Amino acid sequence: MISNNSILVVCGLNVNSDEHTMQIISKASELSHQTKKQVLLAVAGNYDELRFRAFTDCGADCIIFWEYTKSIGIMKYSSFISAVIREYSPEIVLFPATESIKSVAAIISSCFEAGLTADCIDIICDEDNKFHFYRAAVSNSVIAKIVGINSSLSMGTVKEGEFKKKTYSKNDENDNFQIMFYHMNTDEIDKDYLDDIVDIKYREKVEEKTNINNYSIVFCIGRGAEESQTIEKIYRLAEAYNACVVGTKAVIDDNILDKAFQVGQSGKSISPSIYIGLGVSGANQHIVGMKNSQLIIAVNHDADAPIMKYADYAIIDDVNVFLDKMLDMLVSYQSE
Amino acid sequence: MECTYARLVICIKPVKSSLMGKNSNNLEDEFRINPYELKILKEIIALKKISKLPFILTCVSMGTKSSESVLRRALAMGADEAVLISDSSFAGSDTVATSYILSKAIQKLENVKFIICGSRSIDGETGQVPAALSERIRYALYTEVTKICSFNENNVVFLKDDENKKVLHKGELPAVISYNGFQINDETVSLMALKRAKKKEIFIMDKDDLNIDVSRCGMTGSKTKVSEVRSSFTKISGEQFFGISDETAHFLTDILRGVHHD
Repeated sequence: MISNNSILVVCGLNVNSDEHTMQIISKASELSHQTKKQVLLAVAGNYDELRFRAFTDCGADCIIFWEYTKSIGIMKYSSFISAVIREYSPEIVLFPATESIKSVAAIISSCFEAGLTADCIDIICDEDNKFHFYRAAVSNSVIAKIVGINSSLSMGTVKEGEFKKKTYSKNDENDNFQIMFYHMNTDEIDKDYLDDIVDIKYREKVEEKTNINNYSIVFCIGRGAEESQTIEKIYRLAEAYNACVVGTKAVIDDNILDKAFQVGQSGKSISPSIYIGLGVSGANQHIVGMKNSQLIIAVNHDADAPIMKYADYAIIDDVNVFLDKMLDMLVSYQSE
Repeated sequence: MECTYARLVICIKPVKSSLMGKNSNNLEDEFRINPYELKILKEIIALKKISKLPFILTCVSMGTKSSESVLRRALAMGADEAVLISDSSFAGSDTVATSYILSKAIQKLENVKFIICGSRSIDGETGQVPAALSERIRYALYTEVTKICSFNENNVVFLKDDENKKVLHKGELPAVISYNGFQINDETVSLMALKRAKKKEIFIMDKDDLNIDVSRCGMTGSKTKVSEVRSSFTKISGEQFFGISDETAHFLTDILRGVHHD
């Protein structure tokens, strides 16, 4: 049976964000082991047993499912999530921070007067069983620990790549698969104006956006590597290793890279196997976006740059000297 | 405030000038217009000039008296009126409290058809206020809007980013739009425009004007609280190399090639 005070995870609006949802379920499941709370997952759409099983494999104890075959927009989904919260009174709700679900989260926070922490980088449960959210504060370069007050419900949104997806092997396959069919009263969904919006014209974007999360090696340009010659070298090296070139906020602000390639608090979170920061100083707002990289290499002429404290390998040298050396090395390898 | 014309409201977040980095050219002011709102404000003013639509462009900010300079600038750029929501009991509001206060101000301003907010501020970065506000005043919500093409009393036509394509939409009013686009550099406004703006009145609304429940504002009304701050991230296991030697370059190249050393 479903108990109150559970951890509710809200599924992304479409299948494309399932990986992201599963990362959050894995984190919720970790918290549930510690607190003995159940992990609920709210999903709307078409019935898909394989998909649901993937969710339960990551640690969802129960799936609350609203079968709705038409397209679902922000308003309809918010109505569904509100209904689920009213019915099951969870203690915390976690949302994937996709563009549409972020709006859903904000709407729910107004509805229930519940605190909402945006872009959490960690969630912990203290000895009093109270949940705390961590987030990078932009204005003063610190990590803030945030707690919900004056409300029985606290909520947070989580960016993609913030937590690692984990799957648990189940001893008994049938035991843990629980699904509740939720019947939404369609009269409740009065706010569907957004969803019935008229699309009057489509215009395809010329270039397909590269997803920086698909690369296992990432080269990051910082303000210390903004010269065009330096950038050209970075691209040459990156190409040789099939790496993606991304940038810090400063570099995006200076129009060197497109916003889609920004890593950090106001950009994307990444977790590649290897991250190489070139001329990156390592403000907290950037570190939160790359801290889950498996191996961090930082190149900076300043030994006191904050990123040096966070790197597995900190190379104190001029970025250009480093790049020249690595390109030379590449040539000698290729001629072998 | 009475108004025979329809109002279009742009909610402007005043952000600290120091956050704007090296592109700042107006350093004497403590606060600046959040870059997201700056861009849309400029576009709406241009649109207003072309379309000659009879609507009032009202800029609304919430903050201390020193954020008046932000509204003054908006007036100089071409906004019709400016409202500063300011009360000591509003300080420290989180998004739940902020959206409540803003909703009260919107209700106070009459005939508001259309509200535009930047999709986020460069200091708070939560991006929650537009949606939270739309829920409180029960307006439609259009998000990820990258361009407003036209509008009239009943509809708005806008471009919206939808994964990999831009889609042109037509939506009904009243609505809240969350606008995603930004510009860092300030608009240059003429001295004359600034002078004219200085003569205009900035309407101040405090807790009494808004007839507001103070227990739902500021720190008391917030649903989140910062319980602790940590200065930065550190990892102790790191290894430092002074200068890039052949040996180090070899070692790193091997790592990149997937040949791992033990």
